[in-house]
Amino acid sequence: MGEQMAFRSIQVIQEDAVPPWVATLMREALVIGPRGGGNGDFQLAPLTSVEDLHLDYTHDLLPPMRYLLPPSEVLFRFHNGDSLALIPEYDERRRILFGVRSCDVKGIRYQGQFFHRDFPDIYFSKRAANAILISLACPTPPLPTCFCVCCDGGPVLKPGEGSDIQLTPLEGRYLVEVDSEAGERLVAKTPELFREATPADLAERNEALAEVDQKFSTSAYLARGIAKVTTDAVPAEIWEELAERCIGCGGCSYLCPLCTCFTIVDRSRDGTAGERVRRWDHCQSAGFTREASGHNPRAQKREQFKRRFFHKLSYQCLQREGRPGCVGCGRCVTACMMGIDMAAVLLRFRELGRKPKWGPPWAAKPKTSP
Amino acid sequence: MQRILTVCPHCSCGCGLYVLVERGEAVGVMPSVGHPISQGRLCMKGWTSFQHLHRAERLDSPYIRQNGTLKRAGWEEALTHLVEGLGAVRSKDGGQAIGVWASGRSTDEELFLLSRLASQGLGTTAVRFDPSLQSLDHIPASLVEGFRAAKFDEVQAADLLLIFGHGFPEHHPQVASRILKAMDEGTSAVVISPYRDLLAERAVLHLRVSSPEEVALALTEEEPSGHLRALWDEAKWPLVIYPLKSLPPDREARLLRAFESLLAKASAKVLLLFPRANSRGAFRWKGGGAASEPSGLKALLVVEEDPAAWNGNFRELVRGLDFLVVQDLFLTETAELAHVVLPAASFAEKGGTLTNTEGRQQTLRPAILPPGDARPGWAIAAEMARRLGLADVGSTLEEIQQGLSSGQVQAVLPAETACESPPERFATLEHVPNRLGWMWLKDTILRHTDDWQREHQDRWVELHPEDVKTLGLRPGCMVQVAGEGGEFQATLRISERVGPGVLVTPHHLFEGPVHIERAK
Amino acid sequence: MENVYLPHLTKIAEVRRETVDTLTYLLRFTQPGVARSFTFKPGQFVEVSVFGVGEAPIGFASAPSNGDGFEITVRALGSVTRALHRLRPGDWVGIRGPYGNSFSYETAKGQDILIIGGGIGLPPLRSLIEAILQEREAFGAITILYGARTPQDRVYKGELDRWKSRGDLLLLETVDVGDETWAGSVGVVTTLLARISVDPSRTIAFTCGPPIMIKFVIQDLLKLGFAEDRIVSTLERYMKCGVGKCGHCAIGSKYVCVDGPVFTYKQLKDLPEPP
Repeated sequence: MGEQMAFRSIQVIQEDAVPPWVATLMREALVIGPRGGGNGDFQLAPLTSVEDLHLDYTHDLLPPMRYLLPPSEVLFRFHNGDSLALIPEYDERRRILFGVRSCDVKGIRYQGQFFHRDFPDIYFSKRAANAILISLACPTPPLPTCFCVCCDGGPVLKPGEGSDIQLTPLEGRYLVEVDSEAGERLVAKTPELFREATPADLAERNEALAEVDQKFSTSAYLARGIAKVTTDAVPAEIWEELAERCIGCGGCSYLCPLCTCFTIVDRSRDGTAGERVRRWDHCQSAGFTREASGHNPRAQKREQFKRRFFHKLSYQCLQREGRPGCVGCGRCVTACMMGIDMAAVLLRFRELGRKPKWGPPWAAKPKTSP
Repeated sequence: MQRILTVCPHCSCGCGLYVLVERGEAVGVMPSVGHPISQGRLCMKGWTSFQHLHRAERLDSPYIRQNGTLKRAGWEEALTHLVEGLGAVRSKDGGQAIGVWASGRSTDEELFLLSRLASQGLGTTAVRFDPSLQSLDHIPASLVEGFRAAKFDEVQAADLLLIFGHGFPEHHPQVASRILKAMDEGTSAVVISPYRDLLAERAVLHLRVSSPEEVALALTEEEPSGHLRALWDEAKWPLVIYPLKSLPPDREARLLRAFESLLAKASAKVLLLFPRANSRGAFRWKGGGAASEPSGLKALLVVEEDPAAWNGNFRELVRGLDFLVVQDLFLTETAELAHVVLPAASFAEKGGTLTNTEGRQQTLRPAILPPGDARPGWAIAAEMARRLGLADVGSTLEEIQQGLSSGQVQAVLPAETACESPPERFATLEHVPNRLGWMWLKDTILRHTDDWQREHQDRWVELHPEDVKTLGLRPGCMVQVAGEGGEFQATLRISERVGPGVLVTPHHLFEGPVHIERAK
Repeated sequence: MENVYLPHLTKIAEVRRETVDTLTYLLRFTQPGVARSFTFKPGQFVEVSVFGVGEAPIGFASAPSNGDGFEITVRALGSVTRALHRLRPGDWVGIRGPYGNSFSYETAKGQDILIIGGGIGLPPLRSLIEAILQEREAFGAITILYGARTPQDRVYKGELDRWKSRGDLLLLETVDVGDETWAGSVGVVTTLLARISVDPSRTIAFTCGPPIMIKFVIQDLLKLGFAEDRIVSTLERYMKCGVGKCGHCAIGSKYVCVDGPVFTYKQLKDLPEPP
């Protein structure tokens, strides 16, 4: 606990050397890297050729965590013949997730803790064990909706925070901080593409990050929000005011790097053969807690809405896991049709006692560094 | 995980979404951020639009009724039987006795082929395109096409929103989102509806009336009528918003005529919201011709709709039919009555074009294969058309699309059917149904979408506290609601959002005054 | 690493009817290794699979040391339990578990036990009762109070008679509504509390039943002077995975499937959402 961890090595790769490096990575494993999609969307998706690589990318609306916990997956197939056979389906494909943002790396590591606790989840474990994370730090926030600085979610990772290799963009090159044995092996494949980082490289990185707080347009006041929520200091009317806008679409949960809820369903035509599938689910729906008897202990929208924020800002994440349930990636800000995402809600808590002044969260003044 | 960009099959917003595919199976969907409508957002219907795709009950082969039960059959047998059956009716009763009913989410290509099949192949004009739009003739083209017909991004540009109706978060969430955002940013809004919902509460003026058409007509008249008149006159860029089918056709016609008059104000625009994914496509294909009553039909082809589930008169109609053909994804209530059932591909398993309410034509892209022998609707329609004598129908989607741009169709929609009124028994209230709600309870896709079904388990109605007291009812009790077209039981909720003397139902079952009493 | 989502296979050995909508199943594992090593404690539950339909969480209804399979008592309520009711001896049933915590009756040794059951709440209590009776001498006075809606709704009619005929415990029954066959008490189960004498300072009370019954039972126990951590009950929630991952049963910072379903009243009181 007391030992200060350090990166195994700090190197530099020139911008034009990245594609050849990625080409070698593509011979190692399935490389899931930043590429363009339709409508100008960015995706972290399997690269079929190095030309697909789009380093100038913001983030993928679908968090890369979904490569370890897909939206739906077959748990096992069953076949009722002379005897009943249950055949589990595992995914042990080797993947290199390239270009994962710092917030998403933190999210993936938190997920790992969650899925390993109590009863380890073999499906997640197998995928996570076969995934290498090469992250991309953010000297400037990629999007106006980002607020990782308020949530200890980024923009840069310290040693031991979960990346195998952390890349930080500098002028014409990337700083390469290697944080694991797996990362070392990937850099050692093409040593000619890398050189040792100099104090000048590090100074440039430090300067870029020194004023990074100023560059964020969305302020979220997470600590204050946590305080208000844990002391139950948010009046019922405020929860009601926020919750009545919620249409229960589930977007905030589906796209959150830290949301993991799922449901399990069986699919079978006539009961003799079929599969058991798990599929993403979300707590912003009435049916989430309804029991077979029809009784629903969390029937009110207000209670469902409150649950999400208590879970992330208090109960689950802080009390049980020792860390907040939000890394400030800003996806819920994009996904919410009715303006009640994490940033907007925390801003509303901050304004408690004043008349609500609704407006897009990114219109708030940038946070000043302490 | 692959991502295939396509369009949501539900409402007419036409959100761009990716179907997420893993090893040939659709495992989820996600919104497109760059798409002008979705902008990274979907509603619950959009987010759950993949859940029905891999259900075990998907139809994967045609069926033919033999000795009273439906038996599996091959396509050749099914199509031959279909052509014979329709041919027999045509010989005996004439082509006009055959009806062709398409769906609110039938693609442009499917509508085109079905209408050609009907007129040239069967000799009938009894074609109904989108059952959620009983009549299209009363919708003036000026409100739908041209520069006075607004697009979604003009919601934010307006300085006054005149919103006729309620329930926007349910039927057009992308519009509700833009309205709410505009209100958050200070745009004034007037809501004219019988229900004090989220938007009405934030409006600068809420006219809680059940006859919005009267308010619109009053606004077109010269005399001042108070606050609304003042806001309207002051506004530089007013935008009128109205979801079609919120009112019965005759009242809607009056409302739309009033809107036309309101366009006399030079900068005013109107945003009419069509209900379903391709209602706007159906509007494009509408033609003239005499109205044809569905009574008198002896054969019917129903494509991807389930009228037996929501239309109380449909089973009566079927009793008078000699031949019923149903094409769908599941064995719906309508399909269970059919003589021939054809398995159709879903929105994620075919190509084609859908037109959103703004007139934006968007491309469907197939993401996965249809199950078993199920086929895309356009391919089924093309094959049926060929077998009915249309030799020049294309065999690929591209060929059909070429034919589409040069083609013309005739489509006529029957008027609504009248029903018996129930005997006078209970207290009478004015019934304001959410006329768009029925779609979401009885829609075939949504009926097979787990997450949607678990949200909509309760059937409920809302009454004002005064009425609850007067009628001697209790919130939470079961009530019997009766009106033209039937009766149903529901749980009673108490709410001041609805005015006294009015019953609001979240779904539309029938028109006119309703009678309500405690259920036995 | 074990796959906690993959059920073990059992076959239905016996089916007994308890009431018009409740059946008791004796299940036996088909894999000898599993049959030998499977243990559980009263209060725990298993996720019961009807393949092709789904899973339902059901509490153990028999005592742990049988070694020859175990029993569950199931009321047909939702799609899975209704499908289970259509199965016959010899049919497959999947079992995952045991999950959850248990009735901590070992700490009650040397003290008195008060068990209050209502209707379909008796099954998990039967597991507890049978376990306690296996070590009868280790406990003080044992009192069992059971209330059902009608005489037809009583579960374990045979066991109730057997327990009653033992000389070493007190069993009182009541029904909400009697009939011509019923010669016993009529009234809600809390009326039986007035007829017994307990020393709250050396008694642990275990209660299971419909939520409304539990509410009133706890009220009356508190009035009798029971300390909040001497009242033990179970919490109902919609459960799916049973292993604290899917989120459906989460309440506050607890997962009912991992931290429960057995909770003392002291713990229940501190939950941020009502049961």
